[in-house]
Amino acid sequence: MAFGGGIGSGGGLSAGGFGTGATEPTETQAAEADESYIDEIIVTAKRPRADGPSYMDRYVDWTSDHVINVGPYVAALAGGLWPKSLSLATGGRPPLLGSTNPLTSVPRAFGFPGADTAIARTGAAGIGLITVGIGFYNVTILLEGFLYAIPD
Amino acid sequence: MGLGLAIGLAVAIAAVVIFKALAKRSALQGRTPLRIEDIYGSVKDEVSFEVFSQVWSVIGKAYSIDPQLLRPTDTFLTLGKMDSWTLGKGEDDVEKWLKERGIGLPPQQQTVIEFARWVQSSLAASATR
Repeated sequence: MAFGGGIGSGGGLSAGGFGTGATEPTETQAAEADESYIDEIIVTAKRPRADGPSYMDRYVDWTSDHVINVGPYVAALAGGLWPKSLSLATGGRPPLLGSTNPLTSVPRAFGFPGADTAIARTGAAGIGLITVGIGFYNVTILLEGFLYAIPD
Repeated sequence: MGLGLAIGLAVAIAAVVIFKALAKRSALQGRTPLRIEDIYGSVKDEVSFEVFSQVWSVIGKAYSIDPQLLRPTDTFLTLGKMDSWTLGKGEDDVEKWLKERGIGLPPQQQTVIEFARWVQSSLAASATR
């Protein structure tokens, strides 16, 4: 490692000694020392410790175990929701009458046959609902991971 | 994972159907069906019966509501809440009907009777062209 001795090892900052009456560190040296300190913290967070995995490892492991990874089923989004303002088949027309709903289905937005049927619409709404549900769940897991990664 | 997502999707679709039904029930709660002629009685000075009955029929069909439960003061905001669960099927059907009648897209309307008045004036305007 470039910062070899580190801050607490007797090398680094204390070798020259800030208070030893030797020479005052220049601004460049002080900045390098700060960078080394930050690098040390980052590497310590990433590096497996002798007594177990690091915080980052625990975080990644826990979140990987718990997030919902839809994999190839993400293709179902092609039957999901689409903004009306970007709908090609309807010319991007906004909601009509007093409606405030800005969403339509992807099949309807691109003018696929059968997109107007109740089944296609309900299916698209269902895909939209489950997408939002999985999204919220995964965000919760990513946040919870910060807590679960704290060592006991 | 595939089975889990399929179950999740089935639950989500069921939720969509249930929430739409609840929204409809909430909007129409406590209403009793009235004859179209009786509903028309309160607005007979504003639109013709022909336009009124057409609009009632179209909105009832588009939003999947019994026209006899529809009232002149019903707002499209309320209807839109039900309709949003099927991604605007009602407004799309109304748009299609307007196109068939040769009428353009309507401006934002507050109530059903306002829409009926707009349809009547638009039909009159297109007839004089």
